[in-house]
Amino acid sequence: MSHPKDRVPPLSRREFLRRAAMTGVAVPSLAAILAACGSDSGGGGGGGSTGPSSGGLQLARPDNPVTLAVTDDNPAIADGLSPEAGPLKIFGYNDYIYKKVRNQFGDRYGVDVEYTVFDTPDEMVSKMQSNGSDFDLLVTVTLENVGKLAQGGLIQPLNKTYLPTFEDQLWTGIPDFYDVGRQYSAPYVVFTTGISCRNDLITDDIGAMDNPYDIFWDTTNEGQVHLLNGSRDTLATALLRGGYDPNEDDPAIMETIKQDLLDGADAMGWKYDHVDYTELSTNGWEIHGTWSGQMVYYQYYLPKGLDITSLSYSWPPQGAAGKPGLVSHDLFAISKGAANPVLAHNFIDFMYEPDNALANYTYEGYQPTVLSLDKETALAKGFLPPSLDYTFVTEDMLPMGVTELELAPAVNQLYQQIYQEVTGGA
Amino acid sequence: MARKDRGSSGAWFPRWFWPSFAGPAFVWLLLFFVLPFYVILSVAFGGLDQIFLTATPVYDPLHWTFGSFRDVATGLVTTHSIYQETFVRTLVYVGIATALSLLIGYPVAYFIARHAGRAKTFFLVAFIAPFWISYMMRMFSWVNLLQPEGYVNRVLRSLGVIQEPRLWLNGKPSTVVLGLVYGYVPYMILPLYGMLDRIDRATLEAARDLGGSQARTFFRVTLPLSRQAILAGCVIVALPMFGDYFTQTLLASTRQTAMFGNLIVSSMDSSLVNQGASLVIILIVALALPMFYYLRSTNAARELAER
Amino acid sequence: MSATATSLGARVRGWTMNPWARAHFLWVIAIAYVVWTLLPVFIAVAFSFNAGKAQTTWQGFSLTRWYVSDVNSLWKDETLRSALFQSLKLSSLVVLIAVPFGVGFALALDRWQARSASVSNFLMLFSFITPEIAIGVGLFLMFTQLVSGVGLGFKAQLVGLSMFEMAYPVIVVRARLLSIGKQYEEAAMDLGATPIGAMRRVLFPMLSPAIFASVAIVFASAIDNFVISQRLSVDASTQTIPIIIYSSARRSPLPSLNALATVTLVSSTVLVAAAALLYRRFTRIERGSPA
Repeated sequence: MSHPKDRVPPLSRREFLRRAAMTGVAVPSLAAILAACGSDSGGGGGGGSTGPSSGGLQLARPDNPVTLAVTDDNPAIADGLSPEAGPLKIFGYNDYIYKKVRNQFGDRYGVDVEYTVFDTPDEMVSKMQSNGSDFDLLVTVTLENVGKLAQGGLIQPLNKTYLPTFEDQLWTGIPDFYDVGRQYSAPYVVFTTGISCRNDLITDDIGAMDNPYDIFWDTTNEGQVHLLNGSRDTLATALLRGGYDPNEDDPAIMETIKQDLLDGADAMGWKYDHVDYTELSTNGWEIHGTWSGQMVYYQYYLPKGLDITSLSYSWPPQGAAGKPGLVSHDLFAISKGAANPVLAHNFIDFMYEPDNALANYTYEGYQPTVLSLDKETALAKGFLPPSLDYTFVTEDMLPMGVTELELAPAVNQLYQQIYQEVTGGA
Repeated sequence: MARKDRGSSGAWFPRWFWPSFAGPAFVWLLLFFVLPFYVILSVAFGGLDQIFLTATPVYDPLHWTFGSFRDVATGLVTTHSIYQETFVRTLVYVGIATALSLLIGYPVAYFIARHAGRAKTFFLVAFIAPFWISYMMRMFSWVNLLQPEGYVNRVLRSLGVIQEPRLWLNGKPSTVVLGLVYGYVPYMILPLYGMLDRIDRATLEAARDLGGSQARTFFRVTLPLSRQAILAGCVIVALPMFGDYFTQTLLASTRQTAMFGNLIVSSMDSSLVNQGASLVIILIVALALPMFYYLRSTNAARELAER
Repeated sequence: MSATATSLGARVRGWTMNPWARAHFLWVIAIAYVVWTLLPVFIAVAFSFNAGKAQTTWQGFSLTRWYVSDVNSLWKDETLRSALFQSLKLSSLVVLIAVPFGVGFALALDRWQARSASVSNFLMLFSFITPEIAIGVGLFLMFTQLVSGVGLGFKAQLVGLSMFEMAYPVIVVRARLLSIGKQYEEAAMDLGATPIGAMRRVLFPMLSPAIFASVAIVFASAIDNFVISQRLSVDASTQTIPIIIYSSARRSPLPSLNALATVTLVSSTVLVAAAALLYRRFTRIERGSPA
């Protein structure tokens, strides 16, 4: 049996697929695939014990939990191994783990920590397919990708014997329907997706609006509005505005969404990014689609003369009209061909230690899914600005929101094509 | 005994002697230039993986399927499709930028070749400098200058040309075109300078002696002689510019200014790899004619020089 | 008042109506061009010495903040330092492959009479004018699908980039070979040298200016390369300077990025200047000035 540390070329996942009896189909054009998919989801969407699925792939939903298979050719590492020599290679969003915390880990284990950045979850999946074994630890595996990565054999099962603190400190309110038993993933941070606004420049009360998402299409703010990038987040803005499910798969509805986005992009001159905090320092925006953690992060990027109270966050479920909004959490995962899997496990455990979780929170603003940190502590220690205390995700907020989840492959590709057309490949 | 050949220098060399010098380079080209193109074809005409819907290449031409490529090609001829809009827009940007490069580059090249006198070395260095200064650094400098509170706006405001800071980086085609010109004009100047420098002074003096004014000498002697160089310059500028995507991303990054290269790159960075490969094929096909024309004319020009 | 006005007007008119007036017009254009091309770069270099974090407002002069002292400076930020090291490493190795291969190719094309020479030549020129994104995508697909055992990363960047840069030495050396001609080697062999000896002792010294020029050109071009290196890069350890500049430029970069760019600029300039001086020294013999 080969040692899990041996690098495995990406071809092996195709072997896995063949063995799992996924018939390779001589591919017709994408239109034909979509047509077939449309008829599939029309039939299989109703109730019953089997939720949405696509040609054998189980798509996890809250009412359709998925237990990811652990197979012999992708086993977890053995117990009791000692940490490797490093360097530990982490792959995540930019600035998503506080550098000091990374360095502290490096000091404790005597290893170097390298951090590679990706811009969108789509890019992460692409890179994992071509060079996954170059990375050890993945930060920000989003819920919609974890099933794909596990079933495609790109991430390895976790060995919980290395994660005692994790088991101890994990906030149990976090659901695990996408990976029952948390075999492949460990939650990192929890957040909501909402609308950030410069209340010194914008007089509208976004929370009180009938449909807060309309603010993105409001031409009085033309040129000053940015959306979150990434095919799911950008399209979710239009989907939620139209009252649809962020995992919508009806091609006709997607066509109207595309049109909404194209109209908006032309009229509003949107930019798409998630670096609202750095743009804040150059007054680059007045309205920005954002994640709740960014709001706390802003404190460190305020330009001269601007106070944190000039920034407001609006999460539509908390607004007057109670419109739907996204809530989610990001995950750690370990890549299959990781050269340092033990270190990767150690890092996950390290992040769950109360001191480290707090230290990371002070810089990141994204709240870790740990029992040791709650709203009172964050406020008391001065890390959470009082004017933004409602951005802290509490347990009662979790059922209020909806989540972006895995889509059938053809639908995913449709989303990416719409995204490409709306953003012009930016 | 290996057959020997009387090489052009008159000495006896074995037949394989000179070609062997080309061996390593030729192998390198085959492996890393020709073979990748074959892989592009195999991916564009290949299959799709089930879970990720990414490309699985098919290396046997007999099993190639053209459905995906046909989708992209029909998209290209469908009006208002993203493919066609982007392609046409790229043509327009490249056309304007090449023309502007010529308009700026020709006088500069002419000046350095003919009128610089003792300052010639200085101007030569200044004109060659962009070749060793990183393109990214040059564009990055402009990004900083064009910010709303950057120096360009400050100078324009103090001169009273504009009242409000102008948002250069908010998706203005003019910014993108000027950025392209800035980046590529040195490549235009290169062949132009080479040609203009070689025009014999005696030829021009003869024209003047025969009664031609400055303008006439220019239009009837200098310009026709530099025609080949102008074409070379336009091709050297336009061909790479067509595949440029990073200039637009740095200076605008909006859908209204997206170029063909942006489509290719965003396809490759997501799961639309089939589409990306098809778009690359379309790019090569679209540029094939100018490329072949350029290759033939450089061949012809060199044969002329060798005679 | 009117007298001075008319004399001023007369002088201006005289200046513009001068038969060599076009030269003045060209001087203006040329100087404007130099300013337009180089001033932005000098401003970027200047901002690497900015005392504050801004890229658009001068906040005072600080010699070392972004080079050595700040926690995000070029010296202390390992992403920037590693990019600098990677760029230098990649470019040097590319030179070591591309220049010998290219020089050999040029020699072969010059001396080889068969028709297959023109096929090779054609292939070489084709690699020169194909849009870089097409080559980049092709290499990317090849290294992820066909030879996925090698995969993306430094090796892929090295072979891909050295292929792309090979055309420069070929063009430069061929031009030089054309102007040298064959008479020197023939003379040497008439005087009794072996063909290899003639090549070693006559041809290569005469080619050395072109070889130096090729080294400088390939190095400068490789260190500036973006599209191919980015397509074939994987993680932070395979990122080169242009890749770092590109990804940071869109996110409110710190002046330490300017510092990195300045250091690259200075090293390229030093290398090019050295190559130019060596070139002049080696061609001095031909140009007839005293050695």
